[in-house]
Amino acid sequence: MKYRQFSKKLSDSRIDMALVYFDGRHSALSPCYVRYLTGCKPVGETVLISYPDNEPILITSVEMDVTRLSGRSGIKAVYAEDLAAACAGIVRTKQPGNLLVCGGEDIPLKLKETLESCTPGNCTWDNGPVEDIALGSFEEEKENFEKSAQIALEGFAVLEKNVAVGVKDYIPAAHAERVMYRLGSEENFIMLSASNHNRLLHPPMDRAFKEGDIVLTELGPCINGCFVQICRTITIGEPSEAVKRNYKLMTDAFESSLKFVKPGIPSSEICKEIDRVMTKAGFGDYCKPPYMRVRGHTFHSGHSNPGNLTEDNNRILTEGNVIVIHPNQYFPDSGYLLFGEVVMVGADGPILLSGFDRRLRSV
Amino acid sequence: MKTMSGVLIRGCTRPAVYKIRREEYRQRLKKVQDGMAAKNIGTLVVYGDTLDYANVCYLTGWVPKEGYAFLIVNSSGDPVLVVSQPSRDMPYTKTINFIEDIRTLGPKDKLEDIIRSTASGEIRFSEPIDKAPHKLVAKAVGAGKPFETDREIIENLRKIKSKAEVGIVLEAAELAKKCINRICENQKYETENQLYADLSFYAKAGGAQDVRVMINIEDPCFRPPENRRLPDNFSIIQLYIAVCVDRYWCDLTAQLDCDGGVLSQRPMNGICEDVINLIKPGVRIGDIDSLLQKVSGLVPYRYISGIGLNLEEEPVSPDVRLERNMLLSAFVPDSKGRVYKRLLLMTKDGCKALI
Repeated sequence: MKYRQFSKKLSDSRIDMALVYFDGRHSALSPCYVRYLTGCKPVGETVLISYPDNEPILITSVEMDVTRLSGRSGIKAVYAEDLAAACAGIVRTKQPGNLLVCGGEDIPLKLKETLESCTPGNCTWDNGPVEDIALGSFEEEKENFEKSAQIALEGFAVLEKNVAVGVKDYIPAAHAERVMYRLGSEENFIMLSASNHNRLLHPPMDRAFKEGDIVLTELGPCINGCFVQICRTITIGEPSEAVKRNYKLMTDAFESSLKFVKPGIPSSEICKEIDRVMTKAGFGDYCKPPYMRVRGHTFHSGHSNPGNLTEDNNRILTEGNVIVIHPNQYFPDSGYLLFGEVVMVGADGPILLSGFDRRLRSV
Repeated sequence: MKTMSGVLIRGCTRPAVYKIRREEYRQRLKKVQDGMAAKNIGTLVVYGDTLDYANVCYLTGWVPKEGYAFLIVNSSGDPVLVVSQPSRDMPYTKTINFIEDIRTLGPKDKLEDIIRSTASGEIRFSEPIDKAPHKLVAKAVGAGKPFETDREIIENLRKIKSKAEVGIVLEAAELAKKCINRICENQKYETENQLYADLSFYAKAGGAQDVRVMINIEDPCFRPPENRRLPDNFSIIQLYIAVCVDRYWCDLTAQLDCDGGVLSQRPMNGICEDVINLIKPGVRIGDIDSLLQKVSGLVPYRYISGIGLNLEEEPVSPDVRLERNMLLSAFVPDSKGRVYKRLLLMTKDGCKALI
């Protein structure tokens, strides 16, 4: 279990106590440190209290989750209706010389104020110690990411088969989700939008597909906390020339960006390269919100490097980082289009976990 | 107390197909404004995010796709919706929402400034601000003193359900029941995940926005399904399923016999009359909870609560007294003493089981 490594890190860093907070909101976009360290996914607001030389303890505000948390993690778990009061009680009893808080950005105001009043001047808010462990342990999770990526591809194959004129948009999403769960995915993030000129991406909305629709989908299964994402476009009927041209532009931009997927390179270079390709083709004005959001983002169960692929995020890529690269954006002549693959940063360059499938699908 | 609200990540996965008429939303807003006037509150700032969306959704029908949102309700006039994600929520929001004035937060556009420029008189938050993420509070209200809270105005309205709301929850209940029936149609399940996959599929292909499943196979409590094999020998599975239709939830439990992966239901034999007769208007919810705990003794958490936009909502505080048109989700025993989670509607004289 990673919490043993974490305890050692606390010892090495001369930290007396660490409080790792999780607010109960699982997200594909940010890691759950409590889960990463304990190996057990909490179903609600949970805190891990860790020491350099004592056994850790889990505190959850979900009474029914106590036995499962304890059994799965091997860590004593207790229930507290008022998590802030319970944490304050422990901190006051133990009186640590210094306190490390991880996951602090989601901590409620009351708990933050309580912790700071219990440890005046000695409270450090830093996710680094957990993130460092995760960054150094990427090999252990490679298999999870590979499996997630394969599940995403199988999910998409099923989704594509179920797209047809007259079918409600939530039906192919439901089919894809079923197959992904059956293959072992623990959660699925699915977007599916359809229109003859998409302006945005959203979850299915009860639309019956029509001839000429462009179906956009993002599929994101998850194995042991390791989410991935693939982005695809399917046309119902023959795609227009604009759709074909713009889709090819996205795949070209993706391919071109891969040369920047190497350890030591600022992640912003990926975004800049995609923007460069788009700008050269005359779509420079569309390389910003609301026409696109980011050119991709991180997935990891224990760290957040490099984060969003944007022009101003200069975090450095390191070996083992997993990102989706998606040049997704709005084009004035074809509407919003999607293409994206999940990529791992290998020692010598990109490892395409979901492959590189350039085909624009038509049904 | 929270229950299983954190099992999934993003609240509803499908935007609303509005089954509640626009007029009902207008009436809700008017009632909130009347409540504010009665308390001399000039502005009520209503918070919502992808998971805790109930109050914002109650007034707009809308759930943030990502991040969070604030609805600024003044004592008169139309509300202002402030969303946190300009690139995603703005076009999304404008597409599916009927609120005219939608704004975004940004480095220069702080909620505090938007509130100050639109508010009048005393300002209140709809949720306790000290329970919100501290970074969000700082981003939203700056370094100033957080606003006082008033939960009652919206909660008091939400706990009494309209005819349309009861209809939607009942639709969710029927769908949940169908899902349970479908998994008992002779197919064989090898793993918990397969079971989860099918329940989720039947619900979503039936039009559900979201589904939550918990199981209990000789565990002390319900838990999320895992990548585990179902028992080879005969065993009893307790199943919890919550289905969301048009933002509204209903949850049920079932007792399943599992024989080598083939499931069959142990049907409920009516609800114990002695228990049902005690659930009537005027009774404290805490007293009913204690009673159900005595007669059921099954689950170490709440036995009865309101249900609607949240899986657990008012009436849930022990001192709240039951009223007509409250919708309740309760663990109730049948005539054989088996305990099931069922949907109850408070009537003028008592309550009736809707499913």
